[in-house]
Amino acid sequence: MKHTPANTESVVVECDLPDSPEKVWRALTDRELVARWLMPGDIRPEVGARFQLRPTDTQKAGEPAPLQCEVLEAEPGRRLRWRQREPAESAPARVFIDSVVTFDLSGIPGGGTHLRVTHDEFTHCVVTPAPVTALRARVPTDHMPTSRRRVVSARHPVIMLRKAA
Amino acid sequence: MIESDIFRALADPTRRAVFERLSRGEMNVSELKSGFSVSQPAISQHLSALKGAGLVSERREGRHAYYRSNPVGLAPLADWVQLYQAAWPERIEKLKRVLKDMDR
Repeated sequence: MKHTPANTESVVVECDLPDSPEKVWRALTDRELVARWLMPGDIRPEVGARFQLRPTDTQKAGEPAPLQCEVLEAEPGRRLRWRQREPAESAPARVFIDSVVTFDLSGIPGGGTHLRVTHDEFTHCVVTPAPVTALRARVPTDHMPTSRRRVVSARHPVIMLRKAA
Repeated sequence: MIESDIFRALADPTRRAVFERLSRGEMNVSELKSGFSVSQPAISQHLSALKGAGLVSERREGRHAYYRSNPVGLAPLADWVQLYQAAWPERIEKLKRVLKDMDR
């Protein structure tokens, strides 16, 4: 198994498996099988499908919050890609970590599979739970058309903390 | 910088608004203050908290100070990357066992 460290922005793990790409695909997309090596959840390998992964080995108190995932790519036997959003620990604000997991499968001589797992696009996402009065206050709403005013006051701002370039 | 410092700094809605506003461009305190219903000392206090968390940086030009949001998050995100760097090889080992069991 090749494990590429040093890069702080992505995780890449590669390995050769004796199993066919079709079989590996099944292990990546069948929820019973996924539960056995990753997490229980309701994965569905269709682009746009939303599913959850439920952490079981967490040390956090209480019921751990599930990862909210969305399938970005699903090409049977070749590529599976999803975006996941997970709550960051000990956050008083609603802070999430978004990231993207990609499985690339390719056949190798002898019928096996080369699997490459890439986990990247890590981003912070701060979601404020309620309309923010301070944000409302700073906008000169009296100069704005009514429709825009409504939009501003109903705003649930999302602040993305981007990685430094 | 500790991740929880960031979250603590952004837990206050006004501070979050200050941070968001400064991410659109550099401003001095009075530019920043216009539009907020809080006092200038309060704004300064929020700025110092944001600076303390590394979320905002200050640039001095003569007697004037300008503020802008930092493209932060790299250090704490690196912690997550590290976490997954440890997790994926373990997961792959489990996956291998699952694949083996599928033959039975």
